[in-house]
Amino acid sequence: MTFLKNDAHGRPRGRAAGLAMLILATCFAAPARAGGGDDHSHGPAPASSTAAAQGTPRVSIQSDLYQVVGTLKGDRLTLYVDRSEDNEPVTGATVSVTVEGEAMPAAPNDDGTYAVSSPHLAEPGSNDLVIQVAGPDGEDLLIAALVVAEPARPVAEAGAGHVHPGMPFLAHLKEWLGQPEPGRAWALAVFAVGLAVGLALRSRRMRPAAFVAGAVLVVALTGTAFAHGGEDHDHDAPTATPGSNTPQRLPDGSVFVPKPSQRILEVRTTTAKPTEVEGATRLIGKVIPDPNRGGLVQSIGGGRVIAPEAGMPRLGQAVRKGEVLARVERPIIQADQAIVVEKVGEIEQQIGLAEAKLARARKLVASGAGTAISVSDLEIELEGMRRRRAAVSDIRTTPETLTAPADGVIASTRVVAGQVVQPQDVLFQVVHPGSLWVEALSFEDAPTGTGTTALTVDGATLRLEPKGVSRALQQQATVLQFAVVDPPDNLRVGQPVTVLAATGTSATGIVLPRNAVVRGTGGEAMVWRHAAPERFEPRQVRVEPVDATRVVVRAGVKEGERVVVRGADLINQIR
Amino acid sequence: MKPSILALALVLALPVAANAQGHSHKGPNGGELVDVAGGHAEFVDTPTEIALHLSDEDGKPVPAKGATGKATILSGGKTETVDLAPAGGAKLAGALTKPLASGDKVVVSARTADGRKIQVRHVER
Repeated sequence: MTFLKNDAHGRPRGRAAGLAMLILATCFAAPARAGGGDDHSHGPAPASSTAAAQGTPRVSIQSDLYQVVGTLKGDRLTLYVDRSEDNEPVTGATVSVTVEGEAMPAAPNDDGTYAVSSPHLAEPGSNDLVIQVAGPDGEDLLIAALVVAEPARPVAEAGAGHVHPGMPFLAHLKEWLGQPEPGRAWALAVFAVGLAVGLALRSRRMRPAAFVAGAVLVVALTGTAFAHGGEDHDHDAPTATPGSNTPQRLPDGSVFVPKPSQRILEVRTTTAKPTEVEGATRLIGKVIPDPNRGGLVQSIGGGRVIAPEAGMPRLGQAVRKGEVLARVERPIIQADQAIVVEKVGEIEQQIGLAEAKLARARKLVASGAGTAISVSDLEIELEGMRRRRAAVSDIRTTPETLTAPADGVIASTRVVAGQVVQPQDVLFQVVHPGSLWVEALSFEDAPTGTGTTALTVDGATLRLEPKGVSRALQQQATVLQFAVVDPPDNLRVGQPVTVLAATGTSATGIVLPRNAVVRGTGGEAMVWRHAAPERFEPRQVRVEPVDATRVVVRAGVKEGERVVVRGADLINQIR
Repeated sequence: MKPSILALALVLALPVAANAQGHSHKGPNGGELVDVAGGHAEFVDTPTEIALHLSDEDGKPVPAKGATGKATILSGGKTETVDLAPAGGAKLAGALTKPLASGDKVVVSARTADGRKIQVRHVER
């Protein structure tokens, strides 16, 4: 651009040189563009969708009863026979293959496949296979074409003979120019031609001819460039397709999963059938202990914790009601201690006096001057004072005893021996593992249906029995309590659970197990449809919960479609 | 850019082609019309014979002259093969020893005079 600007008021000769350089630049730019185009034109789209077919010759057929996939290795055809309904491998079936009019029984292999060998199978071209399957689900007859690739053709054949008919002259020129691959020589040639054109433009006589020559060159060279981009397209031979027996995601988003992989992943399907189900709402809940079975252990006065004879209770230890869990030594503050000492001193002083009085009274009784009554009065008084002294000094030494409030196990302990605890600190929680409840919050009307279930984070399902509904709102929510029927051993108090409470309304939809629904890359809910024996298509769906294990598909799946119910998450991971 | 457009068209056509496969509906002779390479084939069975009527993409009958075919019939656990031969016009027919019963399965593998392969599967209702 700068050249043009300068030349606008420059001499004609300079302008001509500028034009020549522009032509040169164009010529250089054109091959560069061609190079860029080359890589693009290797479109994976058409190649990969047939990649499976090109690697190993294979047949893939399905009927209402069976899916049959065969892979050919040499002249040996390995057949995978699965039930169409649920993708379960069919073993123990009688399979026979007819090729070229020759019927051969397929021998069952150890791994549940069937194999048949025939030289007819390896013949290049398209061979019709008639496969007869007699299994536990019935008999079926299937037909498929096994396409065996021709032996590799010479490479030259693929490139040659490819000329667009529309523009014969230009195409020939392109071929002529384009055949030798561009390299350093190619760039040099362009430079030389550009230089010649530039020189010719400088000379007055040659200028018109040079213009024409330059124009022709530009057209021809840019044409070559485009021709180049196209060449790679029309190669029929597939570029390397490493191991067609590997699962892969196809460009249209579906996934190719060969039968061997499906068997390893145990992919199972089900046929979508609309059924009537009761709707459910999802509530957030947590596990709480049954208030009648178990409880908390707290100290009334606080103090220093002393371990009982059997040691501090450990987590999970089974305890009986009334069992001593810990003792708490009461603290006595300084002022109180002084009072106690003073009181003890006072009592001891009185005891001393009383003892002296008693001795005197006994002497008087012995001499006959006193009465026996006064002796016994003094004795009782003395005894009372001794007891008072013992009680007052015991205040310092008798600890508070903490016992288990109910039978159960220690669910939590927050105390060690010697720890000083405050009054009302929760020291232990005792829980009966066989009776746990779930508390859930509902921000709408409390669901009224029966058959409530809950789902734990790790996927376990709990059956719930309604226990109570709060009449007062707590944090603008109704509190619902349920008892867990037969709680599993690993259920913990405080564990969050998803409660699926039946709403009491029913609706028709396709019910699928929860495992069938997976998340797409955008977090959307999807299911995998078993479109062909070895192909799975993602389907975006809208689901609503039914209970902890099932969902109902409101949109996205049609009746009769086969949907993956096991292994969906594994298929989802195939890239 | 032309090859790219071609490729694009090819890619776009692929799903259509996939859809077309296995798509069947009623044919003019009252049988099941199946899309096959280069046209359609209509499977018709009568109590005495089974026949394929060949037609091109537009539904026009294609002469069956020079075509050969073989039908395999699975009936009650036993298979039987019937050779099909041109029977005038677009018809490729073979004689049946007994009428097809409900649930019987028939597969036909045929080849036209110009080498096109035709595969038809039929389940008797």
